[in-house]
Amino acid sequence: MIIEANNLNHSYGSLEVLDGVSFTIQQAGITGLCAPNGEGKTTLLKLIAGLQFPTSGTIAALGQTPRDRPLDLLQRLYFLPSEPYFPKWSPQRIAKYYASFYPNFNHELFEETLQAFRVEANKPLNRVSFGQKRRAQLAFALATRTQILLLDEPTIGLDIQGKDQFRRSLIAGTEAGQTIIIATHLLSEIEPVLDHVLLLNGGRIDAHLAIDVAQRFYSFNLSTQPLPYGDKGYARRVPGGWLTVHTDGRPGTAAFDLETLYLALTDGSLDHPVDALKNT
Amino acid sequence: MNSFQRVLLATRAGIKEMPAINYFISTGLFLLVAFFIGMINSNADVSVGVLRNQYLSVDAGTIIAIIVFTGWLSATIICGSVFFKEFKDEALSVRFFSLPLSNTERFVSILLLSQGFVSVISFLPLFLTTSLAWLLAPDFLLLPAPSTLLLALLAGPLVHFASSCYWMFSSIAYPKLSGLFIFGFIGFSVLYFLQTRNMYTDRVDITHTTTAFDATNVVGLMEYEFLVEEATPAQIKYFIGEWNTPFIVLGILCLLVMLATAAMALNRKTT
Repeated sequence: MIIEANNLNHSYGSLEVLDGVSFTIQQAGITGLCAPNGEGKTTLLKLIAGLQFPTSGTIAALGQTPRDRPLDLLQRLYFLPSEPYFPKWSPQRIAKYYASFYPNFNHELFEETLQAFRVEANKPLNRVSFGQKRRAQLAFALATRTQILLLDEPTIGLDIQGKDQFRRSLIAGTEAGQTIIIATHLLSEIEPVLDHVLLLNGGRIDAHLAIDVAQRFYSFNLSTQPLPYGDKGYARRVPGGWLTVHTDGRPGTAAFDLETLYLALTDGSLDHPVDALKNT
Repeated sequence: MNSFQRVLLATRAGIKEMPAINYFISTGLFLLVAFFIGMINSNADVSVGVLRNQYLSVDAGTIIAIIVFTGWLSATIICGSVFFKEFKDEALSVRFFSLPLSNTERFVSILLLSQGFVSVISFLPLFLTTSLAWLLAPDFLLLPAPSTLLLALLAGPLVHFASSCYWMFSSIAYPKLSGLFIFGFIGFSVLYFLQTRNMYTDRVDITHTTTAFDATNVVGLMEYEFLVEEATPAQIKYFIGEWNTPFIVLGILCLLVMLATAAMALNRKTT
């Protein structure tokens, strides 16, 4: 078991953010963590990283409890926050001082990724743009080659080439056995590389779907009219008509669209694959 | 990489992360305080400050006191800016505090950095500055020899250690109560020094009244003698007669509490 959360609760004072979150990640792959704003994506990542403690419930990463800060886990887990507090050094200097703490740090990959991201290795991060700074931080995170990589909104500030390189690095990472969890709103940018998607809604895990299962289970069609009354599906207004999602096994003519599925699932009008199996 | 190497590398990273200004804070404060004290200095032997264009004599005790105070202030500012802020932002940091170190390694590394390195950059430059000043000082400036100031290099870091164990680690353990800890510390220090002043000063305050000559604890004053100054040598000297005194026991107890707070603080992550 790579990550296992059981009945996690977390609150900030009286504000309850997570309410009974349970999920497991059993094998290497890329998981997208999606939730509306303020629904606890970052909190969940911090709980996995041991940077915050759950109010109740348990969480284990690589068989260890993150809040105990076991060295073995810390060396095999890297968390990149959405607004990290990096020193104002050049990427090269950052690698010089920090890389040795990560046993699997890949210097070649770091340099390659910096080149692909078009970031100057010798230029201090306080003298570059936000996007370049973000790409340098991401390059470092990818080069750590930790078994678990937690990325919070990683695609902010990336241009088209940067996103392409980012996706390629993610794929290479999973091929090397990494488990990557990406918290993001920009689903379309990472959809091609996702293996699973975790949908967090109202403080709970609303859905935990394998993408290949979801692609078989949900059918997408482009319609010129909204759904008729009584139709157990979901329709989203798109240019040229309505993109509909159904779970009744009808053939789909439109491409799988994760953002539409996310909207449908948060809307609550669609069955989940697991629920559907239970019903049969 | 073994534990020892990790501690050294983490400490090295922490040192590198420090802004360059940290190396000049103590010297700047020292020069500022020394300048004003030099200006207004007025000793019992009627030597006066440079403002009156006459010679200036500063004793070793005064210089040591300035070194300890400004060095302590500098160390407090550095530790405050580096540690307190970064512990608060720990979840966002990709630097010293977020490095994969075990709790023990992190504790040792932080001690090396906050007590070792910060003490060195806060107190040593002051000693070197006064030594240099003693070498280069013009004739009208009488400064104590460096060998008489070595005590400052021991007393300063000890004061920094005691105070930082109190406020720094308490603030790390309970960030939301940091203000209470800091102001509590200042208030306690003021109260403590007011209450125990007679233990470490060789002077005693005598209220300036016409009955001052009646004071029984004043040595060397008779009714028919001329009153040279109001504060005269007191009978109470600063010394600890025996080790087994409440003062020492309470001191050791405080030290243990401080270390326990430090260990507790450094075993936690952001709550």
